Amino acid sequence: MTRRRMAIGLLGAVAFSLTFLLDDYTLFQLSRVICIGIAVIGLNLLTGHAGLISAGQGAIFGLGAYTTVVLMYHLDLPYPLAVLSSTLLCLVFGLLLGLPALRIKGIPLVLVTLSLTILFPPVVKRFDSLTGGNNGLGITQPQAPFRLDLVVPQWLYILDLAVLGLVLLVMGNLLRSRYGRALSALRTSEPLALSVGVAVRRTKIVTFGISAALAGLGGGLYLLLIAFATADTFGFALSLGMIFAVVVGGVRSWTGSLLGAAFVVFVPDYTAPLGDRGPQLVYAVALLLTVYLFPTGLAGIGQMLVNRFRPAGRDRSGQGGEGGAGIDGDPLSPAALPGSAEDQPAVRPPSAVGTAEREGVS
Amino acid sequence: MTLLTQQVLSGLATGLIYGSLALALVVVFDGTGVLNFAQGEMAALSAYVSWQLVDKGMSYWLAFVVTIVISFVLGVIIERVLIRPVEGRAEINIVIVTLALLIGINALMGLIWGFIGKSVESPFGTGLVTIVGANLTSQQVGLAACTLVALLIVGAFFRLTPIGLIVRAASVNPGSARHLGINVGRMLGIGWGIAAAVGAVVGMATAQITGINPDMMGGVLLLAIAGYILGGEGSRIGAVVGGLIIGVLTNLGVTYIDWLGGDLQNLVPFGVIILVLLVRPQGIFGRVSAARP
Amino acid sequence: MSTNKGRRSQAVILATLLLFLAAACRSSDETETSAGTTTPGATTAPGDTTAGETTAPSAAGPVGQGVTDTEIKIGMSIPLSGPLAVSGALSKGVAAVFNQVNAEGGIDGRQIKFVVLDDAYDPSRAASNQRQLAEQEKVFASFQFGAPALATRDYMETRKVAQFAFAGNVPLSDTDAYQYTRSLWPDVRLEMGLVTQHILKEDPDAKVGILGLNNDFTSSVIEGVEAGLGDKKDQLVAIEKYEPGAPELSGQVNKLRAAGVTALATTLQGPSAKAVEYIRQIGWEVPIYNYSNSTSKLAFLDLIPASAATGVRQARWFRDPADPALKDDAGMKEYREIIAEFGDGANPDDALVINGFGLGQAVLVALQNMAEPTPEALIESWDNLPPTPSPALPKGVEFKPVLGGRVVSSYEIVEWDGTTWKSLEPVKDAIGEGFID
Repeated sequence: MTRRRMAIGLLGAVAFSLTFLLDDYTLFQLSRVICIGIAVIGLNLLTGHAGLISAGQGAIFGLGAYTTVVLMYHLDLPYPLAVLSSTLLCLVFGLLLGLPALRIKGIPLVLVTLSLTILFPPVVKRFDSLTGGNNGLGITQPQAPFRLDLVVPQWLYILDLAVLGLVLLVMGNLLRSRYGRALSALRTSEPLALSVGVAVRRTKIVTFGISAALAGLGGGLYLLLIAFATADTFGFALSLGMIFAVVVGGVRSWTGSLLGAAFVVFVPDYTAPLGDRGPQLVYAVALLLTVYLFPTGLAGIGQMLVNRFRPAGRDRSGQGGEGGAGIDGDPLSPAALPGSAEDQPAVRPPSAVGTAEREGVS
Repeated sequence: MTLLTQQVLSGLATGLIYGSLALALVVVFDGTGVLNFAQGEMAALSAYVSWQLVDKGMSYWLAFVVTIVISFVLGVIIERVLIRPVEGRAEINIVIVTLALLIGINALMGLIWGFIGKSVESPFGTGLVTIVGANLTSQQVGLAACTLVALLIVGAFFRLTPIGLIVRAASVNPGSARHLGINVGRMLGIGWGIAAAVGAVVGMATAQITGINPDMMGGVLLLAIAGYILGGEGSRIGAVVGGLIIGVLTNLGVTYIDWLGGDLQNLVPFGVIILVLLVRPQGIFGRVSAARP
Repeated sequence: MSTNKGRRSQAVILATLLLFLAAACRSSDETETSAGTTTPGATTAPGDTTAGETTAPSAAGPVGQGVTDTEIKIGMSIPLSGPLAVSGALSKGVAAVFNQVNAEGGIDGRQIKFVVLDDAYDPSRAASNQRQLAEQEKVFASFQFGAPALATRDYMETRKVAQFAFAGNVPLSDTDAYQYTRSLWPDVRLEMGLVTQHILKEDPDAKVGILGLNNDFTSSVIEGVEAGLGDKKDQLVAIEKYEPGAPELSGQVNKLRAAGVTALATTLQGPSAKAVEYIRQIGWEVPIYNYSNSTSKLAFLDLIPASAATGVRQARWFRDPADPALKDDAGMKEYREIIAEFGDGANPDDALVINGFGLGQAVLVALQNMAEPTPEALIESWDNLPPTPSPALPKGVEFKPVLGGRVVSSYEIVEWDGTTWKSLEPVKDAIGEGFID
């Protein structure tokens, strides 16, 4: 057992044990963070790893939630099937979305995805016989299976945690595969990637698909949690919030995605004293701080703090764990060329530009 | 008066709001290569500033001019303090910064001036103008006049004045510009300042029609972007025309396509965005250009 | 690629954060945890979480959660930010009522602790807030603003917490299906029915048009207008909707005019009040009846030029404190004194403050009349509310139970004449008119 595996196992055990330590409401909040976190991980893949900025993740999340609620409400589908169907439907949707996205990127892509986001709530409301229109649709929350002695919030938390674990596992393997390398080549420079034989188009489409699938999965699970779907919940603000979560949490860091999701979920609740638009101000300030001072986001800050307590001699400043630095040390920039081996010894300071092999860059 | 004429005219009038904001967007893009998501909020802020000045006793037109100046300065400051540090970096940085500006300025306006809207006496009067049997309010005519004047002045600036040409040169090719001794940074700042000034005119003129509240420009921004995309990157006239077309199309769509309705009217501008970006990304008037480095 | 050390560090960070969270929550959680209260092996009712609604009976009888010997906790979820933030004023009115009764000794010696949370009109946040109020704050009863109440009432029903909604939506009148949710605002069908009646009285062949936000509420409005038209339903000739972000509504207005509309029922509020200005400016003299909860002087009329404001009508059930004619009204004076002392800075001219104040008084009476401090008793007390006068209501009108679990059904049709609200039709109880079957 490597130390890493032990650490992850420990973490998982701690997270699981919280089921019995925390009260229902806190479990509910944590579950919310996980559901949104899964979608943010998807967006992180798309935007952080592939460099395709999407303002539509919230709408796809909503699509997942609505698919689940519609299947459960109208067809009495059991919830695991409903959530799975949402994931698949959104996967297909993402693949389809990837097709036109082949031709556009950057700001135009932002605008196209933004359009979809803004149109989502009114379109959903239109199909009111299906979606409940303005009133929305509700279902009863699933009970724990096998007569386990668990109340609903506990069961849902465990479920969400398990799914999250699975997602992280899959994502980790994905990034280590050929697809992962194609992704980082793509982010660096498209012409370059093409020239070395990377299947750019396919990589992009697949990324859109996976990202959307994760949003659909998160959305379906979220629906189980809040048990009621209303169109306005899945609008512009949510998509914007997910972009914020990716950036503030830390690009290309899964830990960051979860931290970012927590940030976005909890900030509104805790900034009430700051006044009516307090949350917005906090988001704005956090975003600016991230861009100017802490490009590796919350995950990066955490990493820096951990490094403080590390034995001297190992200078790893600027590294964001999985995040890694870009060409000029800025994680939000295109990546430097990928290193050839997994474990690298000491590292060049982040300001050096060039072909130096860098640890932590995927 | 036929409904068609009226809706076309109404659409043109609303389209002017979008077009004039799109003009500001073009100025920023032309000058600095950035799509400023916060342009609408900056315009709204200008509207509040002018209201505040009038509230303190200044006459409307004096406040109008003072606000334009203040907005110009604000634009320069924003460029220097917030945009400059991220100018060379990956695109997402600037997107995030302008988004942060958008929500930040919006929050500030709500905090400072509250939610219940403010209104200013219309300097254009409250009459009615009838053209080919359709109605236009004098506020709408006032906005049209302001937009046209702004278009002309800005156009003249960029085409005819030495500074204007230098600003354009600095944005198109900063490297060469620097070699020529041009202070590129200052030019970029001027670009943002002018855009902010245009935005101020837009905000103040639009305030007559929509009233002043923190969310007055929220819906407008995206439609302005649609107009800007339609008109073509880098084309000032295109931006205004694009906005007008969006306004008319939306209005006609809502009027004659039954299932469209007031709620789905955003299908029109966003449909336009998607179509244009997929089919003819340079828009109607834009030039096909190589990607910016 | 990331290294073992990278992964491990992240794991440590995450673990630390989670443990902090756990520690923080445990220290504030003084009662039993969820695992401890479920009966082993039992399947609970759908969606039921911990059964916290009745703890062990005290010597005096059953006591609901949120009630101690010295305190009774009440919650509220309402937009304090976002596009409907003006609604937050309602919470100030309610708070003033509670503050006053606390100063006078509380309810049976129990002080009211009022917890208000922001939901920005997002149903998802409203759901989260009500959960927090019910499970963490352990409130005895809760208020909810607007349509999100439709999303929260299922939860409140299974959790067995009384919920009072500031919403006129029709579905909230369904008290058979929902024992624990009651609506404070009157059923909008009553208001729209009376409006339509008045329209027909002035012009039996009137062609009615509706202009409203694209939401469920407008559906309720349409129902009300159709009820008022009765068998003249085809006189509703046009319905135009708009989205909250729309900068102006000239398109919708012109469409209504082109459809031949001769009377308008609208649900404009705040910024969209400008539509009235546009209507007058293009010379269209159509009578406009706007939804009562949005048509106060401060939040509506003051936003448009005086010439446009003149002639605006509404069927209102509560009075406008900014109306100069009420300056010397005894009830209004009393209201202002209370707000000055207990309102915590609220603006007494804001009609939503008096709105919340009046309904807060009604809820207070229900609280005071409860047979025992349980949610069921509270609801029963509400359903049997004695006639309760209030400075918020027109003279001679009192809060009393009407169908649908609500307490208001009387309206007065008024028109703004430039300086005050002039009565066009005296106060009438809409229940007898058959708008709701």
